[in-house]
Amino acid sequence: MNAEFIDALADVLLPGDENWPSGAELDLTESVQALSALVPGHTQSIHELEQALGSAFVELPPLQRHAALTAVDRERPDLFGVARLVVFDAYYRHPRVLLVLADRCGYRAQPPQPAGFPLEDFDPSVLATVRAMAKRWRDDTTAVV
Amino acid sequence: MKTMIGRSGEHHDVLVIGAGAAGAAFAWRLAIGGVDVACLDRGHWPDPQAYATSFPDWETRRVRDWNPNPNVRDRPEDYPIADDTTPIKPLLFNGVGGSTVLWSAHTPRFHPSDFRVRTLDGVGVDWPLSYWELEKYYDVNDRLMGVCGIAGDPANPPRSPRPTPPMPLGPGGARIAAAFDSLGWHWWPSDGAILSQEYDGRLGCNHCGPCELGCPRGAKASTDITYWPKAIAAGARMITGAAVAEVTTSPAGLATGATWFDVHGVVHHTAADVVVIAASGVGTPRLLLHSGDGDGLANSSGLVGRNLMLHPIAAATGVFTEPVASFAGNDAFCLMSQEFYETSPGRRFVRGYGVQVTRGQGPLVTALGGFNLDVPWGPGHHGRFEQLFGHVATMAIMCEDLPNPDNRVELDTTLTDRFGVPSPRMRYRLDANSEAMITHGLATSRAVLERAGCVEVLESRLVGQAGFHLMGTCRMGTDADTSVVDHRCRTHDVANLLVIDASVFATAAAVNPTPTIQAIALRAADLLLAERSEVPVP
Repeated sequence: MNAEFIDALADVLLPGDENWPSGAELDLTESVQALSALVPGHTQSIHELEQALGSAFVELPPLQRHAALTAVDRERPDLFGVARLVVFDAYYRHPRVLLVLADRCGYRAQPPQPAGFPLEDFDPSVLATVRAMAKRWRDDTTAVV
Repeated sequence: MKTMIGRSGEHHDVLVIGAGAAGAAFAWRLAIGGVDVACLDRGHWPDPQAYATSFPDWETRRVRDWNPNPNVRDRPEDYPIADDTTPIKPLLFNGVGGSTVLWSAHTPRFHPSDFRVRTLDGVGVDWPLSYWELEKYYDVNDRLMGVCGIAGDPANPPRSPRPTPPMPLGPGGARIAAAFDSLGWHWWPSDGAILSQEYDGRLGCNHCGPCELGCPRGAKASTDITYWPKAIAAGARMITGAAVAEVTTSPAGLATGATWFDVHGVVHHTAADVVVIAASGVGTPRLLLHSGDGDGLANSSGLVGRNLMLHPIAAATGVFTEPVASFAGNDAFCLMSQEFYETSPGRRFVRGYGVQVTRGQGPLVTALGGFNLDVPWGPGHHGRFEQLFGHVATMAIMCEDLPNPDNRVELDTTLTDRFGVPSPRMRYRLDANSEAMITHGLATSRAVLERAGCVEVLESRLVGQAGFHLMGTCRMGTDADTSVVDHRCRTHDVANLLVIDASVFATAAAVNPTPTIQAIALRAADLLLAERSEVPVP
């Protein structure tokens, strides 16, 4: 898998800002390659996307890269969808991004199990209003007029 | 399929096909009643340690081998389903536990009125049994599965104390509950087959989120950890990797057992006095249509496969400015509203809908747009992600769709499973009544979310990947010309053949079907035990 192409692709999809790293600076190629290999056809889709965008894609300025990828999104949503999935997957599992998720979103970036998340127990006192409602279900002999 | 390569040589009093919600409850009741019962399932025992939620790539496992859509998951035990003729795609799981392995475990009950749709509202058909005949079986099932909740809901008949308290509302759910109160509309904490505390040797929930990827703690009920261990301890036999192709019959027209392929493609036959099909609202009609001669087995009415109902679901997602930790807590429910559940003459539709308040998703699924979000790639991605991740709650509007014989399951003319058995094709269209419900439901959900303080509401008129509720394709009724099974789940045409899954639903109600499926299965088992001597055997 062409690292220069993956960097360019990741840079357009996830350009970064003052808080989030860009996809390009995370060297996602190895991870994208491994993730693509897990699903039959994904590696081939990435190759086809690279061919569809052409070798000049990596040299284009950001605005033109964005325009080129927008065109592929419209014309070959199948290829674009695979590329977005694997690049996003690699990005959102990168240790630097996990730190940002914790810092800015309060999200403990680990698998859901075994730790889970703390939540306050249900408080039955919140039912006071609805408990006061009249019966709202119909008897099975009540016809609608 | 007429050529036998091998024979298992087994004979059982009762043979159940399908080890999911219904098959497990039925087999348990028979086994503790002393009956020799065996079960065939095309899948295998799930390994809770392999569930996706314990792995760093848990979110992408959802789109691979843990996808609820069998066409995407494509495991060896799955059969493809032709679904280009339905806007709602089929979701199910093959294996011990069936779809309860991947369900979200929301367990509301039908209302009494749901069994009298024709009498009360002039549409659909009446069921040949009532809520009150099922009530005690709902209670038995609640104890066996282990549920959370709280009695006292004014929108439902009184019910027994719940085994464990409700799941936490969470910050988003609490805001929405207060909004319902403010509008004077009904809400209630959901009943769910998820333990909020330890119960029956199982751990309580630790609010990890994605229940639909399997629960390695065993807090969420699935029948591989609830009914089946008890059934097997009582003597039930489980045969996995058994893809049933045909229910066999005698010259006299009685069921004699089933032929099935093992994982190596070898054909076996298991004989039984009584055959019970519990293979889902798609798998059961597929099997019946592929059995017998001509138009299928137990199909003199022509209704096997007809009247498919799927519960159209619309979604309204509210965005809060403050974080509400929407990634925490069982993701598919915290509360439900049945304010618009019963028919009201002032509306533009008959029957009604329920609203199930769900939470959010993990970071990757959110970044990809989740189930109902709008997250761009490129410039603006990171800002929009921060606006949405951990800041949302979704109101899932579940509509009662009315039975329509044109909505159906049939055998596809070209698609087959790996053994060459024809695949099912789903044909389904929403009707005007469902469309009117969706419009109403989106408007009322927007009102609630805005009252709750949401600054933005994102709407989806129809969630496509939501065909978990597969109902109606072997309708229950009193008349053999207009139904496939009677109130005991016995087919009108074949006296020793039963269907016990959601195929038998006469109408769909507007609630998740599983507790009703299991209550019907338990009742059918009780009646079979009581009337066993009257059932002819081959």
